Amino acid sequence: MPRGAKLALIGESGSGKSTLLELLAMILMPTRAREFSFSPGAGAPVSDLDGVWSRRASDALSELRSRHIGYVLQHGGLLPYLTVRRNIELPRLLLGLPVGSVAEDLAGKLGIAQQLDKLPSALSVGQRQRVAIGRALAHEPPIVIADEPTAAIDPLNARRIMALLIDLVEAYGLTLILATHAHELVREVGFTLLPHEIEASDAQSMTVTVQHG
Amino acid sequence: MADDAARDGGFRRRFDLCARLAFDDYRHEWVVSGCAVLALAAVLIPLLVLFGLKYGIITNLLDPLIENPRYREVAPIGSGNYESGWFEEMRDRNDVAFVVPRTRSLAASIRLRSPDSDIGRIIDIELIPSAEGDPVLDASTGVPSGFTDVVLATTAAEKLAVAAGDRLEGIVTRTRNGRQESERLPMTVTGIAPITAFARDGLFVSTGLIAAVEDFLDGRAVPALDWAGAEPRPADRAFAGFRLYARAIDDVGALRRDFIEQGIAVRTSVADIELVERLDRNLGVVYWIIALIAISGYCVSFATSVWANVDRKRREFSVLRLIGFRTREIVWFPLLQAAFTAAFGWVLAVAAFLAVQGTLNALFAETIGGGQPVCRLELWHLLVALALTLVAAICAAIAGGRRIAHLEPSIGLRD
Repeated sequence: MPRGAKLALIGESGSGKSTLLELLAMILMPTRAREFSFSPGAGAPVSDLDGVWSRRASDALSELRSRHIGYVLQHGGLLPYLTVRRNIELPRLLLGLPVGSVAEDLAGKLGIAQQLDKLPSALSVGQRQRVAIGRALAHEPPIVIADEPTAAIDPLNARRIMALLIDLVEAYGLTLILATHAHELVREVGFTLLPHEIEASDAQSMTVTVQHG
Repeated sequence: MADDAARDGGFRRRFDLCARLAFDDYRHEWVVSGCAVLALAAVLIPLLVLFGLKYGIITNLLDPLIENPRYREVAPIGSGNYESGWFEEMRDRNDVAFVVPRTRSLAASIRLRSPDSDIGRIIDIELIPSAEGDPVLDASTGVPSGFTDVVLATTAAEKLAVAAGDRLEGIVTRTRNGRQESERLPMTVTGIAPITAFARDGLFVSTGLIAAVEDFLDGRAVPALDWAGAEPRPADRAFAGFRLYARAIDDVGALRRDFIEQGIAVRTSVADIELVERLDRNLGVVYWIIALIAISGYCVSFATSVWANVDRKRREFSVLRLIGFRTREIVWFPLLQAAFTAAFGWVLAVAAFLAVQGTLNALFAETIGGGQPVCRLELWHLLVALALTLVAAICAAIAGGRRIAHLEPSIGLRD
């Protein structure tokens, strides 16, 4: 997958999009995998995730996640006890990166500059998703994964927020992997569709096959 | 290797970040946290008050034993034969605070009058051998020494109407060869011994003075005082008894056993001391049984609430892992929050304890405390209580921490 690409997973709910994203984000351990490797960028070492998982070295996974992935959840997933500003700054603090004016800059671009010192509970659902996008981008990860980020928002707002996400990803030159069922929206902004087959063999297991494009 | 170093350097930063987040979460959920603090204080307050009562009552019983040197005295029964070497040996022992020889097992006495007093009363008074470091005397009384410096017991001082610095005259009388002979001995009162030191009429004097008086009464000459008589006693004499005080009340029992082994029958207050010590031990057992039951009960209830909290917050924990927190860093959360509960609960319990203590002491000090506080704790008791509370709370939270460690990071994200 080239850097800066935009990839969309499109499917009905329950079709396994979230599962695939969670596998990609390394927060779900595959029950079986023939080959699973992660190469964060040009020159960076390839991490053989299959090996990491089999040793259950979850610290290594945390490290990869922390440095290379920003994740936007379907329902925000903001920490209720931190202000918007501190929610956005958290990934940088964890990595020991300087905080500077990152929160202000992102909040300005996302249209939530007035909300910086409020707690998430004081925000609307749409504002929370904007904060979540800010948090996913704050540490400028090479890969942003978004799992139906606008599913819970009214269509007008959803369109705006999706546009903001795509603008920001393009501005930073990041790779975006998006799960959605909004076909038309995705076509408009030039996504590559990721062909993947998911066959549910029974209730317990699921096979994900990703074809290399 | 460089990666390892960077990871070690980041530990402090990451731990601080976790601690701050844990505290922000704790503060944000102040209702839940406040309930946990109250629940802890509710268990801790009665335990502190009970321990304070036990400590206060035992202290009230022990203090007089510790403060009054009488309870540390080991007195011989009957007379023996103690050489000066034996006294050296006793002085070298760590558990002996003070020892002086007695010339006779029965106290010698002397007739005493106050030459300056208008009353002109004369009393017969018991001579008590004393020296530097006598535990029943103190700095204000001075030290009996030589043939002149003496310390007078309170009752005798009242009868003779003398005070520190006044002169006294001792009169010794003997019958030798059918003739009555008497000598006068001028003395100075260096101080008055407190009533607790000696309740009867008594005169604290140097061993030399007692020996001189005894020798005179025996019909011998005392060259040092220019008293005539039969051939003086040789300098290296043996003594019939001793006045001996243990260093501490705990040493009395061991000293008593040693003397019995040496064949010396002694009188001690060991029974009084052991009574209080046994009471202390038994009250201690009762207290710790109560405390153990209460603490275990609390630990179980706290552990279940931590477990439930972890379950309730698993989405937040999953989010933290998604951001890149390591599993063991997230385990810090319930442990740190348990420590916060322990610390705040302790502060609340100590404040409540101080209030209860003040009330109890105001109500009962006169009736059952004999003027002393019935309920009290030292600072170190409270610090030990804090340490125990922290350990208990953190141990109880470990179950919740283990639960987090076994959750897959994706659990709860789609709730």
